[in-house]
Amino acid sequence: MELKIEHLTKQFKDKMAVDDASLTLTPGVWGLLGANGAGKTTLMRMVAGIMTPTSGVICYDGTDIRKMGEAYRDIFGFLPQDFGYSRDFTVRDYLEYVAALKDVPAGETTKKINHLLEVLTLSDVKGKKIAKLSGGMKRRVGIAQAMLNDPKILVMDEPTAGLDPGERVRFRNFISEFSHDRIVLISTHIVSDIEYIATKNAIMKAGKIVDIGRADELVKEIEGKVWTCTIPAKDLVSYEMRLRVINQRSEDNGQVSIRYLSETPEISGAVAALPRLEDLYLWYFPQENLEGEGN
Amino acid sequence: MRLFRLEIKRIMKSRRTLTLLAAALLMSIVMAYLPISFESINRPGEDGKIIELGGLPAIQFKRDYFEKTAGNITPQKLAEALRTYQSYVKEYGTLNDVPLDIYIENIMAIRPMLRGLIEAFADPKTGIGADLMDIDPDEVEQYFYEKCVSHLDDTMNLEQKEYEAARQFAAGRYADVDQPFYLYPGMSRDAFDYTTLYILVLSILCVAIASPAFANEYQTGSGSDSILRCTKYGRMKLAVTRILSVCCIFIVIFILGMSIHLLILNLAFGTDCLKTSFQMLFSVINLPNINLGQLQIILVLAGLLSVLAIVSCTLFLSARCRDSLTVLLISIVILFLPIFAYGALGDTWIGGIVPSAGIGMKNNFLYQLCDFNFLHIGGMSFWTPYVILVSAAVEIPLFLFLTVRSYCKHQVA
Repeated sequence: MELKIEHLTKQFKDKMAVDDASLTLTPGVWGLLGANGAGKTTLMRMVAGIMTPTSGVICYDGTDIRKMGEAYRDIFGFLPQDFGYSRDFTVRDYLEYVAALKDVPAGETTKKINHLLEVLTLSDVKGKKIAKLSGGMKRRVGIAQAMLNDPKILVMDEPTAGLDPGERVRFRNFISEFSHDRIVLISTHIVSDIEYIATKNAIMKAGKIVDIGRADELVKEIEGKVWTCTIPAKDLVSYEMRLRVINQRSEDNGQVSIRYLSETPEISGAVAALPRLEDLYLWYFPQENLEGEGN
Repeated sequence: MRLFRLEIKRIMKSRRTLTLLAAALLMSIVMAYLPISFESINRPGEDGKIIELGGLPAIQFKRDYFEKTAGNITPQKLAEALRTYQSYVKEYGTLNDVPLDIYIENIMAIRPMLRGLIEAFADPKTGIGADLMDIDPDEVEQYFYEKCVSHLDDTMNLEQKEYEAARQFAAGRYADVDQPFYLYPGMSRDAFDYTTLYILVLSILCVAIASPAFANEYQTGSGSDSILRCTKYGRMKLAVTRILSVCCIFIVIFILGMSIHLLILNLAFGTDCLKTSFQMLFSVINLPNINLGQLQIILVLAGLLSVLAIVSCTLFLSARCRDSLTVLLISIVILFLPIFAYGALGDTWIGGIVPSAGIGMKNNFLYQLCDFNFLHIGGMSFWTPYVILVSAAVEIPLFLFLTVRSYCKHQVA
């Protein structure tokens, strides 16, 4: 099973949102990393078949998904970035409605919904209106609807936005189990959400896919470019102006431990650190800060 | 069927929908109550004082009163009524000088019959109605229905002078009208006016319910629409099911609302009145060969067709536009377009073929049935009630097809 994205382009009036993107997705969890505006959402919408590419094609096992129509949507699950719903739906009513649209057999629907409600800890609020739920709960309802038909291809755009740290951990574990023999594509700019569960990652920048590979393969690019050292706290500002400091931690005696990206050590006594996916992300997207990071 | 059931459940769970549907049912009662409340009659009491009756007591009095004069309007009966009228007016000077007890005893019962004479004996050149005192009862006895035909010819010559086809059509239709006319007085024109007004109210409420049908999903971010669109049945099947659900709800509410409305009216005015010929309540030269009961059925069916046409148009707009407020505003403009077009331009093709043609005030289907309005293409002339019905019948499937197409082709923003 594979989903092949070939030379996909989406041109809006004044912007090339996706620029000749090619990617072959195989079973496993795929992380789609990129800063805001990198083209992730546009790419995912085209994979979902709800946006027509300007050029290029997406094929599922060799067949153009646009020609597959219902057959493609039957094996597809999608959670968009902004989860929308009719205001009058309760959680259960909404899931029943989506299940009917997904052609989940009537006899299996209740069982399926109950299972997802339990796994996603939504059982207590199944009778409540979605509009009255917290942001995290709404997000989990969104995740539940995407999985109702046991999709072979699951695409989730920023699925962990609004989830608390505990919920993120549960989500990661759930997706890890679910991804067996399925293609799961998760877009995020919260690197830690996919660092440990993604089989492979694709990095998007300015509409282009700039890198593809396993996390350990990708981070090789920045081996010898991630450094740690301890500096006096009073010098921190001047170092921040010169270097790309990605982390800092106060130590005793007015010292600060910093982690930074640089081609060369720059500071005497700096030690090369093991690069992580997060470091790679910041290498590609230096303007991003990590304040939104969860755990 | 499962999806249809869930779609109905989804729509009916909306507080907005429930409020609007409750309003539709409430208005059916209000719109029936108003013409009943307008009924009134003065009559002398036992002590000689004038008693004013209003609402249901007035209707009940009239029902009992008119029972004895109901029946076929033969020329002989008309002539006799005219002689009676003329003798009392001659005796007292003017109609206003006739004492109330004598008026009620001898004249009031025949007045609904006499109304037709004023028209039938109108001036052929100007169309101005005749004075009852100037009409010869013997002429009525011999030529009443012939005078009706010639008055129709005169009217058509005045109104459709250049359109031979229109004049021929009217003459042909009128030749089919059953004679003698039947009259059981009691049912007021107000009742029919309020029935058509209720159809306008229902149209506004249905448009308000239909406007968010698709646009609401586009509006709630693109998330809601994207999710539904990505499901197996989230394209054509969802669009068709949604359309069917909305239309089914409207058909049920329309029939329920109209049934309540007409039931109240008919219980109040009495079903005997429904046997009255269309011509005896409106104009003796009207073209429809129907009685008032059949008129009620025709108004319901034509109203339903028009409501479905404007709802179809609204659904199409809903599938095209990105927010339901825009849909609502455009739909309301279309709904009121024939009213304004009729007021400003009279009968035009625009007022005849828009989905809401037949709904409104002076342009509504009832008034079109009463009038001699024709739309013309070359040498052909089309009576506006037919234009309205045919347009609606064509527009419903057309707009629904375009709705499905627009929804399926819609792209997320």
